[in-house]
Amino acid sequence: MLSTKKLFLLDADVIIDFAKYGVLDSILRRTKCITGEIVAEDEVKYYLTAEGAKSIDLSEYIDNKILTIEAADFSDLQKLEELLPQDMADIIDEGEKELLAIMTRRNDLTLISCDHGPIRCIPFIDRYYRVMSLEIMLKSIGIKAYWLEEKHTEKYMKGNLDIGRTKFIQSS
Amino acid sequence: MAGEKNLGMRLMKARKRAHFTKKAAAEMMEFQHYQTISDIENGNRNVKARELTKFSKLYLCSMDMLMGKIDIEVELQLLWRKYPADENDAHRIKLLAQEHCENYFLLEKILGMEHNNWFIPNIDKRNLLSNRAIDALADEIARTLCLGSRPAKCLENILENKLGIKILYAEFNEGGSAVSTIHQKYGPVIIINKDEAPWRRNYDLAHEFFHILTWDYFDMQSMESEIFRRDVEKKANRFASSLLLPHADLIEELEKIVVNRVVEIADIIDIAREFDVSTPALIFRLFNLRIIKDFDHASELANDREIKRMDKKVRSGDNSDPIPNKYYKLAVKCYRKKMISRGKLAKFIGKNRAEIDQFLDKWGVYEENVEHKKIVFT
Repeated sequence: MLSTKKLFLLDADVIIDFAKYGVLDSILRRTKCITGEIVAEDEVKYYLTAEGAKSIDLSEYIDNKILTIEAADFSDLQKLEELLPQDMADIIDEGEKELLAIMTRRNDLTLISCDHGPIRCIPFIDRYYRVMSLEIMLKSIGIKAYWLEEKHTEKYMKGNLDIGRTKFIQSS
Repeated sequence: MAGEKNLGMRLMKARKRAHFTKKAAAEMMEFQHYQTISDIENGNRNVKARELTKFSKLYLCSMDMLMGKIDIEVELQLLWRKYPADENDAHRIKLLAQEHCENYFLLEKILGMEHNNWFIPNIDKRNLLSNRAIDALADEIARTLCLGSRPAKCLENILENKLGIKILYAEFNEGGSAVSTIHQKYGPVIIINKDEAPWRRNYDLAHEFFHILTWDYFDMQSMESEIFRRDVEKKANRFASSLLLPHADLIEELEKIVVNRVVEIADIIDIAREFDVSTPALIFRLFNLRIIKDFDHASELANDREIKRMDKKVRSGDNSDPIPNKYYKLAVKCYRKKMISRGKLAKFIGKNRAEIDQFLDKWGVYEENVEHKKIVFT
């Protein structure tokens, strides 16, 4: 039987915030999550608290296949760059580009991001309905979060998605 | 496969530009065998996105260069104050400088500020003929730029914001203290060794500013002559010293401490701190002004171990890492206007993503409701 569970593609800040607010373990165990190789290997290292930096160790989740790592290659990046105008490509970093390149290759992933950059790029890769705010993601799996910041809200995500859509319409 | 072949050629170009052998590159990339580099460069092996970012860091070459959007060949012609003993060091600094400039330029481009964003005051070549003329030039420049009585305290800010000179910091290892250039695309650029003490950095900045001011008079080719170069360097030192230690203000400070034409060396160190220059720089300035009459005496004082030790001791709390102020402000402005993502901001400022909130608290990103308030001018 096919699973109907959503496949979430996690951005670096989302993983860092989950770890910071102590929900990373329960989220990874309750959902099917994927992230990019650059995010996992180079970007998610630690989060800061008043007591200092606390490291985030994803290796156990990766080794136990609780978190899947996916890599994009040069041809995926090329396809993404064909879709993104230069001014949009300039706003995001390599980890975010890899996530969007993976999304361009696959159409079964839902991006979870709290960064305006990748969210605004989504309409350019024709995945308008494949992005979700942290707020809605947590609700969908029954986790109550009292710590949500503005960037985690549905309003923030929709606002930036709409800006991306307007830019896309203007550029096409 | 044509795409991979072209990528392979660009990677080979970038590797050679960075002076890496295939074997050394393979080791740094943690490949088992250098044949992997050959396979990649011949277009016979797929390159993952993460590998590309690693190549980009290793070869000090932007991703846009590797993706074929920018020509890999563009190189900076740098004017060296002291050419590094190790050629590889010189080359590394050159590539690092270019990478910094490219990032700076990209931020300006995103903000639509990349064109004609700089201005260098015209100077008369006659102002360079004698020491007295150079002192007069320094006075005139200080007046024009409103540097005030303690020029070192605002020089960096004025050069960056008023003249549009890009000021960056990099690790030089044994590669001297500073370099400068005027580049067709990037404009005037000064790169300072970040490991220098703050008061040394001020002097370096003023010294390199002289080179920028006189760029058209002392071209790179003529600077290849050692005798000519040494003469220009002396002029640059004279200018830096006059600019940072204005005659009238220095005399005013000295008058406060002179008793029977004698001053205590500790007071001299205090004045050097007050003007944000090194004690030897102040001592040579006093010689230039003929307040210390004998060069050998000035030289002896400037090199006195005890004075150096005292100077170092009283300034031990003054050591702070340099901050590329304008560059940071441009990056923050791009982020605040939502023209770059958080991840891109982290990349531009060289910090981990987890540190971005702290950085933004310090550098001023406002709450949404403040950000959207506007003033309408009549």
